Amino acid sequence: MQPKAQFTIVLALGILGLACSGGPPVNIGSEVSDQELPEFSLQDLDGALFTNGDLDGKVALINFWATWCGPCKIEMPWFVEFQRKYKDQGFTVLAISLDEGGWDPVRAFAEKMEFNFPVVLGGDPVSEDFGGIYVLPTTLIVDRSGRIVKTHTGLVPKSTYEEEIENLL
Amino acid sequence: MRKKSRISCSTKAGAKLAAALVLLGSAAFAQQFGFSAASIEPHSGVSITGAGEVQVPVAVRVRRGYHINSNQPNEPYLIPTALTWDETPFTVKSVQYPPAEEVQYEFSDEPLSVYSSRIEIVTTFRVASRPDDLRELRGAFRFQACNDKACLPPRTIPVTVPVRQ
Repeated sequence: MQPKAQFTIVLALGILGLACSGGPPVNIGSEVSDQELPEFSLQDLDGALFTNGDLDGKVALINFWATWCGPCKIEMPWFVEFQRKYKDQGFTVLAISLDEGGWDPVRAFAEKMEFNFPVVLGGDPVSEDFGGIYVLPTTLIVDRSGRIVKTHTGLVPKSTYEEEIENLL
Repeated sequence: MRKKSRISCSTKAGAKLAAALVLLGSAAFAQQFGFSAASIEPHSGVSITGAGEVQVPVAVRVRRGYHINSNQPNEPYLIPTALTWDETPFTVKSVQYPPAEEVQYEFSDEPLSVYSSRIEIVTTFRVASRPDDLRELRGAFRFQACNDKACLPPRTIPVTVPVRQ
């Protein structure tokens, strides 16, 4: 057999093994980012379109969540508090739900948690636009120039968010 | 000869680059689509000889550190674990899930009904007769996994049980 063919077979088996093993564990933690906010246009709870342009000039906390995500529930009261505390300084929270069941569960959850910030319904395309959201909660901190400066995957302490928001305001 | 050698060298470099790219791509693939907090243990198969009832156990491994919701979670917002079967010549009499653990998590007011580690789900089929060409039973296992810090999206993975002759 040709060395190239052998190499190809070994490589293919390795890839298959990796995929079939369930892959590497998902990373949970925080990392510094420097990415431009992607363009997006999503419907909010009231049926209006919310776009990336609505975040122009603002510090934003973009949270990907779902109603079936237990750890996401811990953060929501914090975000309500951040919105109340920092809104007048040019800050907003944007919650992007990745629920597959449509608006009904999301609306009920938003009302129960007394969301005071925009909530939009996302899905696979928007998840891909943001570079792939595969773990919830995933929270992005965006500066006033529209750059994602921090990415948090999984639950992080409330004080971490507060510090990052205050540093950008 | 010299020209041939240069081509060979660039082919090797290209192959190495391609390999690196494919490996990176496969890692990303596994990270994005391949990671599963639960998997089905390979099944040794089931013997179905004639009319009657047949029990088919399906074993599921849950990755250390993760849990999946039981088939009857305590909270309505949680996605239940479910084993379903594709159409077979048999009738599904029952799908018996194991007892769940009640675990208190920081994010829940009440203890949650979950599975972790290894579970076995037993399906009882009613068999009228066994078709000669039946080689396997196919189904689907749906679950949604979390740990104490994060959740993964709901997944459905295939279940295959060989039918022995």
